[in-house]
Amino acid sequence: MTVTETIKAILAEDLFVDIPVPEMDPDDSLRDVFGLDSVGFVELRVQCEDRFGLRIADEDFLPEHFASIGTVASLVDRLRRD
Amino acid sequence: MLTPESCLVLRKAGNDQLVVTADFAATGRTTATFHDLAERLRADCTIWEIAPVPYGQERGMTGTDQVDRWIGDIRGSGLWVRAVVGFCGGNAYAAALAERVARWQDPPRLVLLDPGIPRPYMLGRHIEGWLRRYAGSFAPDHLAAAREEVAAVATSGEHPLVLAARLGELFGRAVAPALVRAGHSTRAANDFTRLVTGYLCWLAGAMQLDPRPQWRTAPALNSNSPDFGLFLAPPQERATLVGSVRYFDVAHADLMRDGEVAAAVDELLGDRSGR
Repeated sequence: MTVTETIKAILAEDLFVDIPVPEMDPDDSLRDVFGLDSVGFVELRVQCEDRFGLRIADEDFLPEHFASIGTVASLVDRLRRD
Repeated sequence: MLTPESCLVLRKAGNDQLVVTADFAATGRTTATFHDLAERLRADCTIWEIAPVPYGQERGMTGTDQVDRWIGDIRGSGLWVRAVVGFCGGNAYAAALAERVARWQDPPRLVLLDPGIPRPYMLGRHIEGWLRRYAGSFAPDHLAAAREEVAAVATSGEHPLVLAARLGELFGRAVAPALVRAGHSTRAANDFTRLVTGYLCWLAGAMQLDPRPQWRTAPALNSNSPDFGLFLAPPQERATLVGSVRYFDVAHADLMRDGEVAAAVDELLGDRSGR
């Protein structure tokens, strides 16, 4: 499973978003389109840490990194490389 | 320029001009942030945003302690602080930062976005908002008990830093379990409790600062939301609380993603004498 597919699975299985996985657009806003609230973003961070086996520091838990599936995937890719 | 430990870098410029912004911008909040405003600004300058004390380390830190932390990085950068821009409760910190910067350089421009004096009742109101939001995950008697406890703590008249710590503890004990019942993981509920506690301590620290001497000469840009900004002040005080005010027909939540507001901020950032 790719990073993007895993993030989509997290949104479906752990955050119970209404959008079916095949219809999830990686560029759509996690807040405005997927409907995540503040707790939802914390949940997404926690689940990404668990599933990808990495740590997302407070300084990386920023709006620009958690804007969309695509930006979260880019952050995960960078943290995996570091 | 070193990367600051206590501030987020929203934008880097190739000159020595710095704008410092003050807000508590939790990821995922619906209210626009300085990230949104920075994207719309044309001013050629580096933009930093003050970052909260790392979660878990904020208890007992006064407002001045927090300002000291930011000011160390700001001064150490060697950049010339063109302006300090605050939003909502962050305007108290913005005023304190502007005053401190003026001790080693020409006074920076202070710009106030929806300035409201932080008050202790706001701490309790924040927790009440989360109780309302997750009311469906409480047994009715537990919800009523939690509301009573929040009200009792919020009106106890204790020092804001004590109030913040007590309400943070109450959130972890009463609201975090409701988040888990709503389907969130225990770890996310605990992390979110740390974030909420961090916000409460940040706001309580702001209550210890008196921003009015700096606000009195500063321009304010105010939204049309009746529960925010200058609307929080009695009508007879609004005229003297800030140097000037311009009202925008935009909600508090959208103030920092509005093009006209960004243009007004740009105008104020460019309107600098002394350099």
